[in-house]
Amino acid sequence: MNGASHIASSLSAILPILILMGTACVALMGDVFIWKRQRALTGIVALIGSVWALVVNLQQILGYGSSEPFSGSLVYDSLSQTTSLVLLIATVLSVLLAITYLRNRGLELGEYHVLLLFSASGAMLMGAANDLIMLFIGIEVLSVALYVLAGIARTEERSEEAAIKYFLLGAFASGFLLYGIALVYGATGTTNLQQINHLFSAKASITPILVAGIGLLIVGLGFKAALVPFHQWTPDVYEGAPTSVTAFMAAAAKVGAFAAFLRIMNAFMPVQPAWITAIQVLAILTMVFGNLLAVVQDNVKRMLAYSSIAHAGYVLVAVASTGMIYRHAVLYLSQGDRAAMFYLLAYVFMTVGAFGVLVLLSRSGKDYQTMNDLKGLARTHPFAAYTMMFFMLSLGGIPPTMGFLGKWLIFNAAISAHQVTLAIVMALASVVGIYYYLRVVWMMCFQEPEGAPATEHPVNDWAARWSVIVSLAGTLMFGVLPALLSPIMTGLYH
Amino acid sequence: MLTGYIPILAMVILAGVIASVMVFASFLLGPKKPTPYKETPYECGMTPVGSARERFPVKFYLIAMIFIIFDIETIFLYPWAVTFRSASHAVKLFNLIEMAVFVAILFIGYFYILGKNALNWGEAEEPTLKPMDRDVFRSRPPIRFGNEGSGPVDLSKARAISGDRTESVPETTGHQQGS
Repeated sequence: MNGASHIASSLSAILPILILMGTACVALMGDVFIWKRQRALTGIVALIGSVWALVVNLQQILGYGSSEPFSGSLVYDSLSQTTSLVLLIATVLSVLLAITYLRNRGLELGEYHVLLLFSASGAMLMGAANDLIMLFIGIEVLSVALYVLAGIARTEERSEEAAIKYFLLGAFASGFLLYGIALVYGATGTTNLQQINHLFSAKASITPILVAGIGLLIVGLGFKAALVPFHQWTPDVYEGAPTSVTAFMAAAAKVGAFAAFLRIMNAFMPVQPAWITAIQVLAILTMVFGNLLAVVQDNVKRMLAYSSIAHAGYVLVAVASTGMIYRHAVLYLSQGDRAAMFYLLAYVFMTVGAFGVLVLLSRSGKDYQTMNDLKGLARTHPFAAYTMMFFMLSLGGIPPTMGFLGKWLIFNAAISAHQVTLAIVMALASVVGIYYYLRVVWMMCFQEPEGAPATEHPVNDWAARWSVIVSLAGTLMFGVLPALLSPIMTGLYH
Repeated sequence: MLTGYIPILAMVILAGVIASVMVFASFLLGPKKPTPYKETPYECGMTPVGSARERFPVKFYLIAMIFIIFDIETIFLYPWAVTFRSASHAVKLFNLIEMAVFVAILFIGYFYILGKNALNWGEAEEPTLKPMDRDVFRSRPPIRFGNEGSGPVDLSKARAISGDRTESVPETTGHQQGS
């Protein structure tokens, strides 16, 4: 392929990422120079940009193409396209959530939307990375923007604490990741994932340096995905950050990290014995501790943080039962990969939806966060209460929802990959999960409202309301009719 | 396999031994005639006035950060300029466009800084001391150098030069000959 056409095809392959970044730049300039007083316009520009990127991404998916842009440093296949789709859905929903919420909280900063778009583009880069260096760049673009977003409520101590904690631990985790990349390079002589895969397919030699490298990679990514021994920051950061940031952080950072997990683990498939035990142990720890610690939480945001840890454990079960198949140089995803992507989409709908309900309930200057705040919500705010109920049922994995179907797919994949222990632990942990999800429902529907009724009603936030409605529609529709996703995820269903 | 590293190991050990011998020998053998003058944090330079834990405008960091952005641009431009000439015409055009895009993105950052008035130092307020900090300065004993009244350094004159700070530090009560 000659240079010019290679560049052109490379650029068109990453068009959704370019659109997001370009929109972010335009929004930033507009925010500073053009519409200085009307900050909501920045949000609307960001919304238009992310919807545009979503449309382009859908076109790409339906085009069923695959290529390796930029001399193989990125890869553009069904996995990266689906990751982009999931991330763009999360971005659109988060931008919608934030527009009025930021004004209510007195945080109306144009930078919010700009950073959100940059962060999302970083996560998309992680999903498309075919090279460990690109993966690292993606993870940094994602994280640096998130560090700032976590502390965007500058005047609040909790938000500052969240930002500092996330930044320090995140920088530390980046160090681990980078060291892991260096060791893998030392063991294989390349940072290109496909070359690593070919190398080990020809001769699977497990050396100590390779095992150490993979281990450090798992630690670095495990931090971003909030797996259990590396999860300490999660509840504090999720609680301290403004709720709309938490929704995006919970969705995008996790999707990006798991896309990277799937890529790396598939590259190291021929040397599976070197890493499978670590993933299994992490998955069991994450599922068990995530669920058990969520039970004792009184703060809804903390509870959702631990629940997001537990969900990371479920997706890790899918990672443990992964294995892409290259047939005639075309990539076919295994059952585990498909289950992971489906579950991540379900997770985005459920989590953004659940945090979205909290955003919807927040009054000026105050977040709605404790279990007591939720008492008797069905009477005072029926819309919020009943949508929250569906998100809780979906997070718990109760049948007519996407959460159930995702869990079922992962369970299935784990059984057919002979990960029986993981499947059993997952089933048991889910049972514990149902307790605390239903506790929220019980608080909302069967408890009397506590104290005097709030004099100040939540602002009528149409944008956030639409975000919650779309999340709910996704959760229910794809839970009942998952076949609707098959034209989109066709690459995943071959 | 690792025999090639033996000279390096030997050098590390030798360097450690020599350095520690030098430090310990001067510690054991050297004559010690301490004067408080010698024990001030900076033996030469300004006479210390007040605490080092002062507030200063955080804009210094901002300037440092902005500097790094453009510093990296310069570093990136050098290898680009060196390899530019050797490329073919088509690649030259591509390189030119690529660098233009890179600089344009950097300039978005620069315009953002300008638009946010980050480079506007005019309105910067003097850092004001909180009452607590002022008390800390008051309760602090005056610094004595051991040569007051006899040595070449006239502390009271030095204080007078440093101006308005004099009020916050109480006058020394009686001079003492070196300890």
